[in-house]
Amino acid sequence: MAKTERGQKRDDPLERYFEAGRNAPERPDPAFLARLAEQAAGMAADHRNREARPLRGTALGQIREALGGWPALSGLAAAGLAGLWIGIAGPGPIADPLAVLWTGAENAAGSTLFGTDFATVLEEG
Amino acid sequence: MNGEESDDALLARLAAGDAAAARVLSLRLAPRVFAHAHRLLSDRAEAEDVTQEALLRLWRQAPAWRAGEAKVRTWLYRVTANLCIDRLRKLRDTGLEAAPEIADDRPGAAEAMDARARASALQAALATLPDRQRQAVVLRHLEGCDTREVARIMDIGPRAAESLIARGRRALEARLAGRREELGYGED
Repeated sequence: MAKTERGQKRDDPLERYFEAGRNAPERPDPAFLARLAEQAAGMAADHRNREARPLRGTALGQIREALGGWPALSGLAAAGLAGLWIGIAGPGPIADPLAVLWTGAENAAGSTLFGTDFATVLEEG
Repeated sequence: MNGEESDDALLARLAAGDAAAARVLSLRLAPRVFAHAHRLLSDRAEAEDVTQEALLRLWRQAPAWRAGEAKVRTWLYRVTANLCIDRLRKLRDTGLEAAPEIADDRPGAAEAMDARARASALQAALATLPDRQRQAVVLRHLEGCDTREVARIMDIGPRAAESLIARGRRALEARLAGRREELGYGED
């Protein structure tokens, strides 16, 4: 005949040890418990704050945050609009930029340095 | 039901930002987690670290927690045991494994018969078991889980859980056999 669970426990040579172990669990320090409770309250507050900022969790919100928030986004939008306007307005052709630079360099070399002809200064050593 | 709010309900309130519910749940769960960690580690400081880490993980998990899918208790036992086993492995790797803190310096005879001495003897014997056997025996016989729950917590099949419990019990009996006289049991 199968023994009842209570009967099995009574015959179990380890049961008295287990019973003693169950009745005497190691207890944590009250100060430690208080610290943990405050930590839990802090986590609850974090969850509440996160709920109050719903955009933060979305993909768009995260992109916005990564770019630096609304100020950075408005700068980006202004630059984009300027680019679009330049593309649409199509300013007239400009002179060859290298030629402009070269002419500018020649003029600079021939100009005076602090009112003195630079070429003359070089010749005189 | 004794009218006490369930762990699931308190966890949902914590996720919604209710600090009072968070405190209640922490004060309810922390002693259990600490006791379980101490049974596996035999070290108060390590058990405190594990308790803090296990609960922090639960609080972080709270918004995604689905009531009814898993029991808070089962989840916590699993996380706590995994953290304990990680720590025991690290301590062994560094050769710094702590000697069990056993209040076992009492004189024999009558005083040794008290429950505290038995509990200490059990703790000392548990500390000598392989990690998985210790976990299985502690869950089954000290935390009061049935074999199916032990299997779920340990992520193994019920037969494997039974086998671990049986082997752990045999080892415990062997370790404690020499102490039965000393602890006042004799041949009863």
